[in-house]
Amino acid sequence: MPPAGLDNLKHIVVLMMENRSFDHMLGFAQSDTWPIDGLKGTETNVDSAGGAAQVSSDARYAGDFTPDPGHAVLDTLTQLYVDANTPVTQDPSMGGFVQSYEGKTGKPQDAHRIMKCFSPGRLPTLVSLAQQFAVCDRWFSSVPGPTFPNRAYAHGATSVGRVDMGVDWLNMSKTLYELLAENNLDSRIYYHDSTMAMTFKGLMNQGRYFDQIDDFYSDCSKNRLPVYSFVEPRYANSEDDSTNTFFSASDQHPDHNVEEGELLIHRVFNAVWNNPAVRNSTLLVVVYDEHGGLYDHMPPPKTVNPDNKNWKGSADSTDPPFDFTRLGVRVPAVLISPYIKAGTIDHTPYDHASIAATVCKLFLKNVANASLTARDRQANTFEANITLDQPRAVAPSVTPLPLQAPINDHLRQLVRAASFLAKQNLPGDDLSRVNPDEIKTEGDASKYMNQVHEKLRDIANQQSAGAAAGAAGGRN
Amino acid sequence: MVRTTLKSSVGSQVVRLALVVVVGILVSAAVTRAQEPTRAPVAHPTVAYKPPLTNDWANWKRDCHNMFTKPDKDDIISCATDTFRNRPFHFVAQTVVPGSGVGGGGFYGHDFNNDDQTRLELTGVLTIRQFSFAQVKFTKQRPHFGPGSFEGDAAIQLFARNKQLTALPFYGLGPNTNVNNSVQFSERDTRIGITVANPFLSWLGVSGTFESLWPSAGGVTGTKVISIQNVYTEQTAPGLATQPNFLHYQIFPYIHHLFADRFQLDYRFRYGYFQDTSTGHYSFRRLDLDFGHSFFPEREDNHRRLDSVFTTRFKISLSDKSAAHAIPFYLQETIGGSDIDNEATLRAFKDYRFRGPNAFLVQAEYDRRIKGPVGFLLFYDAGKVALTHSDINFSNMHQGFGGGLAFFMAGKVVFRAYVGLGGGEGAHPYFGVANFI
Repeated sequence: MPPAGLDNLKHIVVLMMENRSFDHMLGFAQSDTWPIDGLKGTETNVDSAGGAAQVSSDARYAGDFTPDPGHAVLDTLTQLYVDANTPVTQDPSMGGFVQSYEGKTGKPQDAHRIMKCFSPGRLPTLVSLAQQFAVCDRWFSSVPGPTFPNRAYAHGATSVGRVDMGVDWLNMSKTLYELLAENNLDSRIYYHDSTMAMTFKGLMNQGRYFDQIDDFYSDCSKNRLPVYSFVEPRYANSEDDSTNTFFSASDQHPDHNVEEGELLIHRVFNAVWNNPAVRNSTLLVVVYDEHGGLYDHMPPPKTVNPDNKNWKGSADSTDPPFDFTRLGVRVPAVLISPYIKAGTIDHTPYDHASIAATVCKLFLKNVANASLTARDRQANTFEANITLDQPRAVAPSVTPLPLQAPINDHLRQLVRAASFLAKQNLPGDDLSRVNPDEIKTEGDASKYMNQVHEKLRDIANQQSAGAAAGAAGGRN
Repeated sequence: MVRTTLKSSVGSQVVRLALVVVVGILVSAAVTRAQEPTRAPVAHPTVAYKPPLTNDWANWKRDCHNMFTKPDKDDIISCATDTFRNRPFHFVAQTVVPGSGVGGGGFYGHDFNNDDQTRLELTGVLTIRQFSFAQVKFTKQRPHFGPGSFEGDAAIQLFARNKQLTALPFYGLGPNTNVNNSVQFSERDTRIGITVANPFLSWLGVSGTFESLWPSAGGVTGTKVISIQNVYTEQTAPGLATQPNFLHYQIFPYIHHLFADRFQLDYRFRYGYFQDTSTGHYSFRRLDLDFGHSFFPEREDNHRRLDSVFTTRFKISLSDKSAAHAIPFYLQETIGGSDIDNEATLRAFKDYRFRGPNAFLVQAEYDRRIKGPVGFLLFYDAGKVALTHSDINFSNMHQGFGGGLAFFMAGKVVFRAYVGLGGGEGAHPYFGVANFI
């Protein structure tokens, strides 16, 4: 008998962000008490001159990734195999991220930035949601390529053999929205400034599939969500001269400000969570479309071609031929429901076709062969993370941005622990003289803990370098 | 399927993890719909690899080379996309003001390496009628300050812009001018300033602008046109004789809200003071009250239909000056066609047809998608300009109506083609691309 949480599930909401890899966002959050498949901190790639670049936890909200790291098929296969012409039947080494970025920066040293990852304290919303609900640490993008093919998989479990970023997707095959409509179930794409689905031939002329983001918040407050909702972030920085309103892209695409995306995730979570009727009947999925060229250590596995359509390559394109039998780089994915146990870590391999697979399994269970392509037919489904019979009584503590919220007791203890470490290990440093009880906001707490963490890491690196030099000297 | 949960003790963690792994392996083997399991990365190749350059410049050269050597649809789209979207530089195609003709130019943007969204943007455009536009903007944006969780940023923007408008029509001031008595004037609009904006609430944004203006207005040359000084004087076109520098202070609250999923309001209030920095003779104040409403009459699947929308707009612009002062004609409001900011006004009349210190505009429009992306729009406009506040009323308003085709994508109008009629001054066509991205 399924848990009551599954019986109560009436809506799935997918918020799909842009272009960040799992390790980049969550890799450094790995710990003994939260054993996700993240980073050890020693992972490296080499540049074309042979210089080693190690992962670091000093990524900033903006400014690290100009020019935009490559994430076309050529770039991604370079990141996976170093030589993009390696057959995708071979297992990837994940060793070409730095060299791929050299194709953009032109300078080996500048390309080392691609190994930058976030310290968990910098992403309070994503990290706290991941820790308080379920994180999927083997959710891969569907194509080792750019945004549009991957989003096409989220909408229709195929990219119809395309790997390009062309603006016209008229030839898209049947999507999840059409499949649901055929079975008298409603669905919506809620968007800020644009959605690629507006060019799908089956959707573009159908206003019923589209609403603006304000409608999403309104539908949540009135418990009027459709069975399936897909939420698009804002893709472009923009100004409305007629209202003097400035908008920042909230998609987190490099080099857009990651804080804006944190705010969007928090806003969407709140919209679902603050209405008990919606909260108890909705599974919210926060997932990223692809890795954006940013480092991840886990090789993507093989998969199946969805529809026998291949990218054959072209003299006009640098992208090598590709048969869609290898998934793309791993991306962050978080499942949110009050029927999910806090701290759940799901190691199941998923890709974006898992969305259609799960929706079909849950909402078209009485429809024979309800699926879109061979990809979603074989994709794993993620509803089994809903294991509780009763919704969790205690509201989770999801830390919002901006970080002006007063510090809570838990964070206060962490700050005191950081202060203790600073006093023990950084005796001459200003950080050791900070009174932890004078830190009043979450933002200041995060900043202080990051500074201590970075100083301690520097010391550890210096010590290990000294030890290595000593050992080398001994051998000589 | 393998799933672990947060654990409190290391001992139980190891035991449970091992148990879950074993069970997971067994379950995974039994599950028929399962993706390939993941594997550890293989060793990195030892040979250093020099990747090809794939930056925007390299892509642009390749895509556009392909388009010229053996063009097909994809090549044309790729080249056009690169040409008009690449960073840091891309070409732009746009007008400067209504009536300036199509133009082209370039855009350069630089993102600064810091935690904020900070960028420098330079734009330059020259049109076929030799109107030009140059602008530099330095913008720093952060998530808004204050309580609540909603869209819109706090922003500071420094800007400098120059518009050279080589020939604009002038029909005289006030409501009773003759369309056949038009003359031409040239204008330079140069300004440097700062705008600060913050959305304080989900429905309220407030911004302020402080800028310095160096305007210039004068005649035009050419045998086929009548220049403004041949017909008008300082008395009939204040500001024609001399154009002082101005300081301009402006505060701008903006209210917007969606009610009951059917009614949306957009209220814009703008209060500004133009200070003549030389003699003070041309100093004046202006208050703009702009009330926009949208009503979505149709519903589908219990949601509003975005592609069926009835909008109304009610705008009043009032200027105020001391008795001995004058308001420069080039800073007065216009209605007719589209105004200097490209906003549709009296669509059955020519651009800038009526000009005055005060203006009043009422508009109603219905947009509806019919089949595929194609729909229609119908509109009615009424408005007038006035030399005094007391003349702002509903009597003797210029009126017009019209209709045309609207093209929709994702429920929103992206392109309009229509004709304005009924103003007694002929039919006025319009084609426009909506700024939807």
